[in-house]
Amino acid sequence: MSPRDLPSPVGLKEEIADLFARESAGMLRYACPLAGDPDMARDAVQEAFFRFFIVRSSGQSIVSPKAWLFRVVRNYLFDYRRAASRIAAGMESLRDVPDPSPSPGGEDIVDLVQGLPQIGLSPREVECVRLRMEDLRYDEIAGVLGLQPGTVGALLNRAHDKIRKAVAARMQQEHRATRALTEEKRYAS
Amino acid sequence: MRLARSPKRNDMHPSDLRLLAYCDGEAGGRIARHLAGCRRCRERLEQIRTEKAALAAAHPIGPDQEPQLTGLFGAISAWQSNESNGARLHLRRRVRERVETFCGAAAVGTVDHPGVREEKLLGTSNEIFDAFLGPAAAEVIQDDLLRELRWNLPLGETNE
Amino acid sequence: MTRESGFDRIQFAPRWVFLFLGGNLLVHLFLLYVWNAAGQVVSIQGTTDSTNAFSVTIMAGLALWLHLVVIRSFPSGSPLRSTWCWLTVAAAAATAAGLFGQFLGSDWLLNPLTWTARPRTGLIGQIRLTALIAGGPLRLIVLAAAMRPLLRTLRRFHFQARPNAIEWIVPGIFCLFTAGRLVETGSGWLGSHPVRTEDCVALAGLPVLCLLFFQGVLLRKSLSRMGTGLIARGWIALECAILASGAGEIILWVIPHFWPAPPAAISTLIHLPITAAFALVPALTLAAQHRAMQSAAQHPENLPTGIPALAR
Repeated sequence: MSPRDLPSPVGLKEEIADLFARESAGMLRYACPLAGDPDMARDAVQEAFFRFFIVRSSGQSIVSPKAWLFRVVRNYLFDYRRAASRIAAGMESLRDVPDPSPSPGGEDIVDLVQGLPQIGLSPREVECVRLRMEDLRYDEIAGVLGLQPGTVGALLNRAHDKIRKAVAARMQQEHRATRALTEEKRYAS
Repeated sequence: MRLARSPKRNDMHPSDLRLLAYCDGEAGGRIARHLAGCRRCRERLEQIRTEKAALAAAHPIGPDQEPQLTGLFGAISAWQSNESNGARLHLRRRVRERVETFCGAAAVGTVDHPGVREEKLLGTSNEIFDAFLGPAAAEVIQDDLLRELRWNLPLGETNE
Repeated sequence: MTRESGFDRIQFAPRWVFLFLGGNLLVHLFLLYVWNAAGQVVSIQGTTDSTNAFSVTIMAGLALWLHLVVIRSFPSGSPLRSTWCWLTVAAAAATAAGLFGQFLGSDWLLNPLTWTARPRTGLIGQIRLTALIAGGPLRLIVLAAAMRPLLRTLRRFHFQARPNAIEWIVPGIFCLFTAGRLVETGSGWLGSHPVRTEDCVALAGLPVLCLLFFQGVLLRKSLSRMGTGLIARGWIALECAILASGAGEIILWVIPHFWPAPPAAISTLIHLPITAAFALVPALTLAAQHRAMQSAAQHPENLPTGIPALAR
């Protein structure tokens, strides 16, 4: 689209409202752990939409608005963290970040997953999983993270493998603990 | 999209990587045909779907959206009515600097002239960079132009 | 939306070109000096239509590689994709012409076509002629094709301006030179002087070079409206390369009139800077792209995300 084909202000607002309704919740979920502060995460989401408005009102078309918005959020939060020098302390502070709202259903599996120590997912794998949870396609995730789509698939597969092994190891551990307890009771009786 | 081949499964059965991609809607055709005739791979696929559902269940839901949208539209209205003059001037200056760096001083006069709004200036400069440097470089320059600009966005009303 | 991240060393591409050019020129000048000081005891004759020396072929190869790197950043649909495609083809033609002309189109010992009991001199001659055509008029036609989308894109962004009468003098002079060469060759042929095939091939390129000169004037005028920024420098190199090609043709025509058997090094000294100028076009574009990508390189690839549930 050339700069001459500028979208109408009303049409643009409707486009942004529609996009906001669809994507802002997912963007906020993605941004919260990165920001370490819910207000900062909201700021990042607002900034992303405002930049979207500026770029669209300049007449440019954005091929994949969802991936574009997530990428802006990511870059914005990086700038924020760099400015606040929180990168080193980021992993520690994130333990205390409250989830914006409780997760629904599947408590057993969720408990297992949440309680796992040191699964060993790399930051890239974690980001891929999080972005995939927000229903981004592989090429969109690749665009957000600056990777090739094939690499995204491989990272997701590796992440799933690690989580699966950790869950299996945890269940085995619990099964052994249960058996040990049963044996103790039998001896005691 | 080409996926890396995983060595875990033999060539007859798709790898976990390909099954995961199929589950994510990133692969189809041959895998779907194979699944129609292979119970083992169907069971494996079901297992992957269960794992994905468990991961999704661990994912929290976001907070209310409405207050932020109001704030956002307020900022957009302020921009459109030229109330954000500081941000506009700052953006214009940045665009001119980039055009001068990458094209030359003479190009600034060609691209920017009285009456051109900042949005149009941004669009024209992006088109030039896209044409002469490629889309990837143009995208990076645009990100850089919009980065750290203080639009004076109000924080959205929160529940706290 | 993926970003190229392998720009760290390619930003020095213009320096590589200058270093290679400078090094080769020094070596050739030194060898010429030594040869001259030794009383020209060794015969190192060459003709104005001789195939380019190995160093010119290496420079052409470097230019081809740089073009192949640049073209990846212009996907189909980009305004200058076709320009870069044509420029890459021209670079490939120059490289192939140099390689085939040096190896299979010459009588030197390492040419496998000379190893047989009956050396295939006819085939060698045909290969040499094909190399001359590919590296000469064919390459110039491709360059002229590359200029059209470039001038169109410059016009689209209102950079194009009409040259004045004085600015047309240089292409006019070259057109006169072309006409003079054609007349000279024609009269020689009519006067029963044999006209070599290599001369005909060289003459065939001159009208195309005239067209390139006119396009070069339009390019120069457009670039003067743009400035001397990072983008403009690459295209200024193209304009200089075209000018240098024309100047080189004139010099190579003049030399035999004063020096009947000039050494082959003279041809290299003329062709090498011209090839280097063509190599600077993608090199300077890559340097400009690197400058643009520098801000992307400041973002870490691994932003610590720390999902409390999944990664401790």
